[in-house]
Amino acid sequence: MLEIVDLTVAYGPVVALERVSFTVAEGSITSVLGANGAGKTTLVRTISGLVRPRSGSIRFNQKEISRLAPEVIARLGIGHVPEGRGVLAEMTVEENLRLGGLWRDQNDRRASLAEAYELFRPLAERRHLPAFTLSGGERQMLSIARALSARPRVLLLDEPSLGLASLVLTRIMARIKELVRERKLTVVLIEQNARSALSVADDAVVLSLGRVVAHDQARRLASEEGLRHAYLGF
Amino acid sequence: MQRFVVLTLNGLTEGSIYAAMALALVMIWRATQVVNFAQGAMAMFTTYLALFSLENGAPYWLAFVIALGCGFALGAVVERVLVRPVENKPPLNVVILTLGVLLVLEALAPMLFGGQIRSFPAAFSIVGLRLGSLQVPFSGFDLFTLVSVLVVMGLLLLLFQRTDLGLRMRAAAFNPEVSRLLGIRVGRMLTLGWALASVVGALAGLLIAPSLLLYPTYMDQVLVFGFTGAILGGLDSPPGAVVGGLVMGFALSYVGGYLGSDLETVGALVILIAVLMVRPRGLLAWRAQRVV
Ligand SMILES: Nc1ncnc2c1ncn2[C@@H]1O[C@H](COP(=O)(O)OP(=O)(O)OP(=O)(O)O)[C@@H](O)[C@H]1O
Ligand SMILES: [Mg+2]
Repeated sequence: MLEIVDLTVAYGPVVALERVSFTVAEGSITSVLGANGAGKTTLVRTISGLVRPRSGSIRFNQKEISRLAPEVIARLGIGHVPEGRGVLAEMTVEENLRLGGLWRDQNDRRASLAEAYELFRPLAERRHLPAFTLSGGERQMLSIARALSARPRVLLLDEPSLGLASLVLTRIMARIKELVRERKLTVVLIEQNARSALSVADDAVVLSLGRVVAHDQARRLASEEGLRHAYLGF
Repeated sequence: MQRFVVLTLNGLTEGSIYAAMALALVMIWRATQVVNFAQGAMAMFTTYLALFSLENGAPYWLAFVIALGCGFALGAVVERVLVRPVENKPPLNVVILTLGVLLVLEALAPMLFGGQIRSFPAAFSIVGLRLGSLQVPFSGFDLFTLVSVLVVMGLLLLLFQRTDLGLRMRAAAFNPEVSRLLGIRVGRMLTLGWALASVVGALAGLLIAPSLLLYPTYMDQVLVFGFTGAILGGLDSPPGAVVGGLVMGFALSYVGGYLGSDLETVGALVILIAVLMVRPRGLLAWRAQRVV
């Protein structure tokens, strides 16, 4: 589904990713783990086209996407919930949600709007208020709901747990797992909390200083004590 | 009392033109955080193109549409060719660039169309309308001015509040990066924003030309008054721009009428300073809360 081959990304002299390679299977959840500054955000921003790689390739359904513009990549069906949320604060909750479904037909859009409100009650109550009136966690809900209303084939989640109460997070992850099962949604999940990420993911990639230091089934990584101590902190 | 009515109606008509100018400036400011000092000169240029069309046998309405169409194209070209390359440079670069466009257009106009003062026809009579036997100081053309500005504002409101295209344009202006992640072609939206704003500016140029007469710098003052109106409205708010523009129209009309027309420009400045002292973020500041 998503193949990353020898990806190298640099910000001027700072090399943020070095020859990163791994494959994400369709209908699976891959968790990307690593310390602060390991290159996790850089990885998903490069997949979305916001950052240009220095070399290497990214293939989505066999199609090379690493030189495409972000708006084109988004329309191919790659959704991205950015680090720090990215809600449009000046727009209303509903306008934010509508922006998610721009490229779908009217009926689908109405359905996914209803679904978003169903899943996130606080958003329904504030649908006509500007998003800057939302709390941090509610903004995170909005950002995730907006990405879901685009009905992406691949969803990149950059620390979705940030600011969310654990009950809400559990509900979101349950919904995402449902989508993975029913619609073969493919998820790349960045998380600080390695323990909980490994419990929902099928596979996991561990980054350290821009390199892949481990890539395996999540279950197996969770049981490797040396790796856990060295990179995952539990 | 009669004098007051005359000045009020006059203020309303001129205010609607300043409001249009202010709205054009605010649209561009919101789209690209640029104050387009060339807005007036662009409108001057398109009005000359309308006059040129008229002189070559085009009917009035065709010339009118040509000017608006050229306004659209001119706005798009200025954004795409001149503003885009300096987009991520220090903001002062863009300011100097729009001043450059202003100077170039004002130098080009006399070369192409002649520098002498020209009269520009009005679409409707400029003699006061009659209500029964009473002649009011408000002409058919004044009415047309007011209605066309209102119609354009209504259409823009519909575009931005009710359509997907408007939603995309607003999103692109607020947050380009997030918009791109949502599949929006941000560059295209910003170009369209400039183009539409320039249509509004071109309309202002056409509407005020019959009373100001046409010469290469005739829009300079309109730009200053429109800009003042935009600032009064907080620069960030389209409704604020409209209110600010109207306030300018009334204020200038009263100052000119009661205190003498020499004081008009000074009066505008005093109003600006006074309002900004009381409401530093503009008249409608309470709704212009912009949270980053
Ligand atoms: N815009 C930028 N310009 C220069 N260097 C950057 C930029 N963004 C990130 N970096 C550098 O790239 C490296 C990887 O950063 P990145 O944001 O991808 O890490 P991360 O794994 O997401 O960290 P965190 O867990 O803190 O979010 C860091 O060394 C960082 O300093
Ligand atoms: Mg990060």
